[in-house]
Amino acid sequence: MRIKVEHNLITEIETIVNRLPDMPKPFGDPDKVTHDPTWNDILPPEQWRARERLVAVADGYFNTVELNDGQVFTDFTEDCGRLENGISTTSNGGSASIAQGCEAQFRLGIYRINKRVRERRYPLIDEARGIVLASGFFDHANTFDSYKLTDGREMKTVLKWPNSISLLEAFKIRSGEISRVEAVFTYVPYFMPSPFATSNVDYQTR
Amino acid sequence: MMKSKSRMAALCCSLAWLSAGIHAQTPVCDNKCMNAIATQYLLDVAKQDSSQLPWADQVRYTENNVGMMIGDGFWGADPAILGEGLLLPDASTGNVVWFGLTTEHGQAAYHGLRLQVVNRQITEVESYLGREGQPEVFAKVEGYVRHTSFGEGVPAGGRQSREQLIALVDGYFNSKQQNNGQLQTSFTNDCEQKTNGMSITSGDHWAAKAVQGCEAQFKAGVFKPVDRIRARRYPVVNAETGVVVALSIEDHAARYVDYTMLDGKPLAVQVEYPNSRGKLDLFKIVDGKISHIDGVSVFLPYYINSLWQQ
Repeated sequence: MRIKVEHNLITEIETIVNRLPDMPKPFGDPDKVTHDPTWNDILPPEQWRARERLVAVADGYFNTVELNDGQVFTDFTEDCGRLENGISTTSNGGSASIAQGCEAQFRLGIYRINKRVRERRYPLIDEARGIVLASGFFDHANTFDSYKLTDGREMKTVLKWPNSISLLEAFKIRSGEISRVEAVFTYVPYFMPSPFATSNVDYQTR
Repeated sequence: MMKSKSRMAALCCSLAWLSAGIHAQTPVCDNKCMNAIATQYLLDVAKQDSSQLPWADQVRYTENNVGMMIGDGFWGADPAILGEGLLLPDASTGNVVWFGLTTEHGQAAYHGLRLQVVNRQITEVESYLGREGQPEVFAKVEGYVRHTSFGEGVPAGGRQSREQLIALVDGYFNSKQQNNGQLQTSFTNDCEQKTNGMSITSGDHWAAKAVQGCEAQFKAGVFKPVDRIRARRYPVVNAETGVVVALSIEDHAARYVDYTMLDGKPLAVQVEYPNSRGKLDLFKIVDGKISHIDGVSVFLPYYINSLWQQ
């Protein structure tokens, strides 16, 4: 949930709620979900980066997710981990059964189905903790229902029809490298816009 | 589901015959012309080629209540038309609706499509796809049969005016929202309702397990958790066949998870969080009574704005 406060008054509330029943997606047991304690760490000054650079690193993450074909546009720590809807998707099952670790998964092109990462916003940046909170949509156009990883293995899309996910995603960035990612997302109708964002879709490339 | 080549071939031939009417030089687009344009649209979407369709300069395209570019969404997902479906033109409003089955990468969906045609050009495209996997009812299409009465005329003595037909459907919505047993419409004794191919009024659906039949369900208060039915539109009304096509958004606020029918029997809310449903429904009305309802329902975020009506 994001709350915007102006002059000590609430002006905006934006929530992404991951609920069941829904289409196939990660859903961790709420009683067992733990947040990595490093999110609260104040970084040593040498690991700080400017706001613009923190956003660039997070934006590079989304550029990597979009059309994920193995090309990586950002940097990760070796121990980078990602929690999605309370489930680790970089270790133990799911995508992690194909490849483990943030960068390894992207190098393999697991997330090829993301046609666009759209309406990206970065409403919260904390230089001291190295945190960027982002929001956006992953569009799964499903113009194909199978694809090949960069190692030649064939993958099948879980859903066969166009869909999107709406997300709030936080990045912990140390020395310009993403060390932790945590996201809450839910399915929405394909290409649904945000009431808070300005469309940034390039209609020439769609 | 795989495409049936024989069914597809049969569809192509009959559609090709219909589509020949597009180029007939009548001054206005009558029902035959509307059907021809819709038919050509279906043929071309299956070919993923929109270049030959008679588009207006400004076209609005939505899919499941989201605006997008033509070519995206269903157009891009290996689309195919399954069987013939039902064409429902209304030249008086400039709308034609097609209700049928489509596939994306071979997976079937119930599909309601509305085209608006002005000056023989397509100005609006509005699609609803009831797909398998969403938190909404869905029956396998192999067993789906659309009731034949939707394509049949009503004897002159049993017909209603456009206004009366709309009032009956609007009364259906008024009766369903905050359903408290008060009936503001009329049903035949054998009235049947289907959504995404599944019977709501008989069989294994949760509502049918509680009470069977259109009127009995409404009088029992089965649909109490439906808070609002808004953005109601009636783009196609045919007094000769007694068919009304209604579009609406149904809100389920989920303020409670258990409730009781008017007879005191308990029922459980099916989805325990706020959600809405985008709907395209066909109503068949004979002698002033709703006899059959069939439609597409799409799971949507709660209280999503209608892109077509506030």
